[in-house]
This record gives sequence, C-alpha cells and structure tokens, in this order.
Amino acid sequence: MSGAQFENNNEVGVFAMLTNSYCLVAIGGSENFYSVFETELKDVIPIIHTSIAGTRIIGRLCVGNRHGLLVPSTTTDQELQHLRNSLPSTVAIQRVEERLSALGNVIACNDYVALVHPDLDRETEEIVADVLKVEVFRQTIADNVLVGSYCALSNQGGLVHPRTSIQDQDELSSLLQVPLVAGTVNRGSDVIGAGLLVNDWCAFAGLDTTSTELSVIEGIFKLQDQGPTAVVEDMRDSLVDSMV
Amino acid sequence: MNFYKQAADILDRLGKKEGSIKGLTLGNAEVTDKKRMYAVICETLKHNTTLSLVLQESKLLALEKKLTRSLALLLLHDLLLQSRGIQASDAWPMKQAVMRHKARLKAEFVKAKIKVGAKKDGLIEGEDELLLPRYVRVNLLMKTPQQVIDAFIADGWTFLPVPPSPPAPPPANTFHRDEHLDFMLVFPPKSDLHLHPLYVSGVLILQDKASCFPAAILAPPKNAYVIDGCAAPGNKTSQLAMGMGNGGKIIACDLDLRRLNILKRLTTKAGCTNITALNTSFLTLDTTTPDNSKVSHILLDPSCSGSGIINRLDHLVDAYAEEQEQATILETTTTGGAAERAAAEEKKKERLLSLGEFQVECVSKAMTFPNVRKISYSTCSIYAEENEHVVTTLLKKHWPTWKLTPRAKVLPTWHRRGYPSEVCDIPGLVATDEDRAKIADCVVRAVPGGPEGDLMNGFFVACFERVGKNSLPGLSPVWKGPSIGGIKRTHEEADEMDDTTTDAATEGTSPAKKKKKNKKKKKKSATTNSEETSVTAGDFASTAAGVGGEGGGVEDDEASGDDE
Repeated sequence: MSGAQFENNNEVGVFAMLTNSYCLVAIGGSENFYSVFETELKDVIPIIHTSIAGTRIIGRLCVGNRHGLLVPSTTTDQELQHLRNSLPSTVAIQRVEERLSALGNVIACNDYVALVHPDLDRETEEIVADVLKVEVFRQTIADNVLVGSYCALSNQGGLVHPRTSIQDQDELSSLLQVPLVAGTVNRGSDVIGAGLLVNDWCAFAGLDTTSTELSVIEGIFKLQDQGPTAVVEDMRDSLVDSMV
Repeated sequence: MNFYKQAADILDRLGKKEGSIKGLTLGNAEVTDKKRMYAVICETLKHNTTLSLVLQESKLLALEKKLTRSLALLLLHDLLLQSRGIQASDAWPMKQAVMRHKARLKAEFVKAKIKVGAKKDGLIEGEDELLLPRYVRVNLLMKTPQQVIDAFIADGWTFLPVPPSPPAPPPANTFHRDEHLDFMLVFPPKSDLHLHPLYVSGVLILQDKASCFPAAILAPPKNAYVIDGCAAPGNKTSQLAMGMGNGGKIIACDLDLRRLNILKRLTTKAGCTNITALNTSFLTLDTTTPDNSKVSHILLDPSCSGSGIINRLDHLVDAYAEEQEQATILETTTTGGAAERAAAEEKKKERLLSLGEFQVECVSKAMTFPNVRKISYSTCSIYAEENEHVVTTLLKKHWPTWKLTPRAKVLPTWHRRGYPSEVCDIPGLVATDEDRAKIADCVVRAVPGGPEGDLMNGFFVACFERVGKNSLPGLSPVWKGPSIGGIKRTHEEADEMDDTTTDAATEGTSPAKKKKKNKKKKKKSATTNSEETSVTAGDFASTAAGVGGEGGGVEDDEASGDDE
C-alpha cells in the first residue's frame, strides 16, 4: 500500500490505471511518480507510459482487466498501436464507439464482474462482456450512475461510496461476489475511483489518505503483509480439529 | 429451428388451455422428438416465473419485435439454463436476436437468482411442495391385500404397521396400509410402479385415495344393477365391479369414445366381467328399458372444474396460462387491465355456476330411474358452487323423497366433512345452524395436498338415498369373500348394526310394512309376502351373525335403514 502524488495532485486514479497484468501511467509526470510504481511493480507486470486522445487523464478514459483493455473512440491510431505493442499478448485491446466516452468513469470491473452505467449502449455492454470476459450488471452506487468513479474493485474486495446503504451494499456484494465496504479516500473524498488504484496484491492512494482510510483499504482488499502467523490464524479451526 | 417453432406453438396452445402437456407433446403425432419436446416444455414452464422476470427486466420483446413471447421463453431457457445453449443454426434470425443481448440476459438472470435467493439453478422455483404419496388399490377380484403386502415385502419393501404420524408420505422403500380403506396401500411419492408385474397383470391399480371414496360409499351389493354415469377412464367402475365381486351388472356411460375405449381396456385388464360400456350421455339414457329399470345404485362423477387435482404439470400450465393472460392484458390495454381482470373473474364465476347447473341436472336425471335407491355424487373440486350448493339445490328440489345418507354410513371415520357455512336454507329441512351442521356432516370433503391437507387430491362426495324405499327383491346373501366394502368401522358401529339386524329379525311386521310400499310386491298376497319377508329377515339374522362388521355392510344398510 503506497501513497503517491501526480504533480502534487492526490487523485492518482486519474493519471494511471492498474490491473493484475499491466499498468498504464500518463506521460509528462515527474520521475517520483513513476518510481512509486516501479518500486512495487518492476519486473512483475509491464508499466506502460501512454496518453489517450492526447490527454493525461488516462485512468478515467480507459477501463480494463487482465483479459483486455477498452479505450474510447477518441484514442488516436498511434496511441492504439503503441498500446498494442506494449501490452502482453494475452490482453486484447478494443476501441469502443460509445457516447459516454469516459469509460473509466462509467465502468468498474475486476477479472470476473463489471458494473456499468445504466444508460450504456447495449452494444458496448456486449463488447465489455466479450473483450473483458466478465458478467456485466447495470447498477447504480448510492444512486450515482458513474459507477467507475465511485467505487474501486479488485478480485478480493471492493470499496464503495461512503453513502451507500447497507441494502445496496448487500445487493452489490451478492452481484459482485466479493466483500464490500463503504469508505473514503484522500481525507474524506468520496470519489473512490479517482483516488485509489488497486489490484490483487498492491494499492496506490493519494498522499492525503489518512491512516484510518489506509487500514480500511488494506482490510477490504486483503493487502496486509501476511506472514506465517496469518496463515495459522485463518486455518486455526481446521488445524485444531485435525489434531484432536 | 423447426423444433423451437413447434415448441412455441405448443406453449401458445397451452396458454389458451387447448390441451394438456402430455397430450400436446407425447400424444402429438407431428412432434418427431417427443421426449425432448416434453422435457423442454416442462422445464420452461417450471422456470416460467424467473424467465418471465428476465424477459421483463431486459425488455427483450420491446427491442426485438420479431420474437414472440413463447419463443423468447424457450430460447431464454436454453440459453440460460442449458450448458449446450440454443441448439439452432447461428444464421437463424431469432437466435441472433437473442444472442445480441446475451450479456444483458445473463446479468438479469443472475439478478433474478439473487432476488429469489437460490443458490443453484435448480432451486429457482423454490423448494418442492409436499409431494403426495402414491396410492395403490389392490384388485380384490384377483388377490387379497395381505397377499400383495407379502409380495412387496418379499421384493424388499418394508411394511409399516401404522402410518407415519404426523401425517406424511411414507419414507423411501416403505409402505403401509391406508387407515380408512383397507384395500388401499400407500407408497412413497414418485414411486414408479407402472412396470411392476403386479400392476401389469391387473392386481394393482394406481388410483388416488380420493377417487376411491365414491364407490366405497355407494357400496352396491353383489347382484345389483349399477350405472356409472360419467365413467371414463374407468377406475371407479372397476372398483364397483370389485366390490360387487363381478356379479350383477354395471352400465358405464361416457360421451368420449376414445376415453371409453381406455375404460374397456383398463377394466378388462382388471378382470371385470360385469361391465357394459355405452358411448352415450348419461342424460339421454332411457329409464324404462329392462336393464335401466332394475338399476338400484348410481355413481355420478360429472365434469367439474378439477380444482382439487394436484398435478404439478397442471399447476405449471395454469400458472403459465394466467401469466399469458396478464401479459396480453398489459400489452393491449393502457389502464393496466383492471377491468379485463375483473371480467376474467366474472367468467370464472359463470363457468362454475354453469358447471353446478349441469351437475344438478345429472343427479336429478339419476333420481328419475324407477328403482334407484342410492346415488353417489362426487367431484374433484374444492369450490362450494359445485359441492355444497349443488347438494342443497338438490335437497330443495327433491326432499322429502330423497335425503342425504347420514355420516354413520358415509365413511364415519373420515374426519373432514362439508362446510356448514356453504349450506343454504332449505324450507322444512334446514333453518338453523345446527341443521346446517348436520347436513354438512353427511358429506365428505378432502383438502388437497398437505401438511394441512389430507395428502390426496381435493374431493367432495355426497350420498343421496331414497326415503322409505329400502329393499329390492332377489338380493343374494352377502358376499363372503375378502372384504370388499372396504370401509373400516369402529367397534360401536359394528355393535349398533348387530342390534338393528336382530331387531329386524324379531319385528317381522315392520319389514313387511315397508316392503309393501315396494311397487313390485303390490301384486303378491299378504301371506306369501310375510313368508318372503320372514325368510329374508331370517337371512339377515344368520348372515349378520356370521359376518364380522365389514362385509355385511351392505345388507346391514338396509336393515338399519328400516328403522329410520
């Protein structure tokens, strides 16, 4: 769990995008920003420097998981080619014609499930299901349609908008099949998707994130450094039973 | 592709109630793959609620105009619930129409599953309701119940000496005797006995307990002439023949020739030789022919709404048909269809009333036979319009010539009787609540299913008997073979009957008086009359002494009837 800032801005989820098999970062930032990522991810997954549609807000424009990446129709051909060259061959990339072109704001996904904006085109929904190999659900989070902005999702858990009711959390949790918690990031900001980057083993938040928020994030995404003691904790019941 | 089109057509017909599932699939000559068609239709209907929900939420029909509702349901079923998916060419426009929305449909399906709280696909429609036990009637013309019980024990079944309590179907691989009908055996639900050698040879007959009641209550004596008014497919007819030991004559009528042929086949298999099948309507029978004028007992089980029958398939069809109606109402009206729904309710009520009128007509016709003494009227309905209301209408018309047989002779041990609140006032007979209760006590009801129900189909039986006219000449001594009346009586009952028969023997005059009312005896002299009656009274005494309780049921009926 690391904290980072892009040009003194705590919203790291806007300028970068993180999945289990690759990481995209915007160009034009300082080396400090990149070194944070490289410390955690060097030699594990490729870190790709790119722009999308000539902008730096790549985290909000594109969405993906380890199966694929979706980019908006405004992506230039060169950028698309660059991504195709840099991404691992297991990752499919697809440019999507969609009226709601900020895909990162309207789609939240992990490797199995995706939540989408209720007004998303059916065609886009089908593309999401095919390329990302996920089950797609039209949902709102705390009555907000921008699901990608207001939640951060990984295969282990999810963090949602702080005003999500318990009922909604239960419903979402059963759809997504992961535990959920409602919380904030970057000292009380409810735009979780913009403030947090997460995959199965690491997470990045803005430097403003309080330690309480950090502990909540680490708990729900199961990110603590788990030594041998954790294994014993989890397996304690079965071990004791077998000895008896 | 053709398969799906056929299946959609069948679903449409089921929705309009133009047939049964089995009739339209297995019995349909146009269907090439009958088993697959039957399976698809059953499964689609089983998951109808969930699939309709998915259809509604995804608004598939609004987006794809070419898809009809029934076709959409079938394709959805195959897409969502079958691992092999839709089995049709990819070029078929209907399949393409559905596959375009595959992601959405799958998502809605998951949401529907979560809503219902199902953990696996199979549990979507909720847990199975309590299943009815499999009732089996032993054909007493061929074997005794004990022999059949021994045969099953030899096969490996476990015999339970008493039925399980609280009332429930017997557990797997066990069976027991029924506590109300001693020729009946009770097996676990879904027991498949139709290939069992005893069934194939006609020793066992698969008949629901409820439909054994009418013949057991009517209990005609051995050489009587009996009419079964709406006989097909013939289970009650063969039960009557069994009770009469193949003596006398049974005239079985039914309008439907195909079903009448089934009756002929089933009764021949059951070894019944005294049945004559007629393909006519009961209402058109001539009461003056030599056979018909000897008829003393009539069993009537006329067409009814069938609301008591528990058949999961019928449930599915009914639910589907209703939903179709609702859907079309919603689609075609703008006001949400409240008026149409009310109209549908009205039609249903009218239908019940017209059924009731037909049933009254049937029983009234039965009462016109010159020598009839006992008429059993039964329905497999739970609605009072076909049950208590019909009985009260008949009593209004025909009392005091006819009355209801009292509870003592109508399955006295059966606990569930009619509903007093549905018995209307009859001038001279029913005025107070007590009268109503007494009338309701004479009839028998069964509530379908369980656990609050009686673990059988819903049913209603009422028995009418002529007041006063209680005997016929030429009745042979009571059937001494295995018990056929089959109605268990309590000890008090048996004692009471013994008392009455001995009374009848000593009071030679009262039977003589009653017998003089009999038209056929009018011509005979008084002396021969009293000789005859003393002989018959003597018969009563000896036979009553010789028989324990059950077999003598029929004769005792007449003897004790004299005293009323």
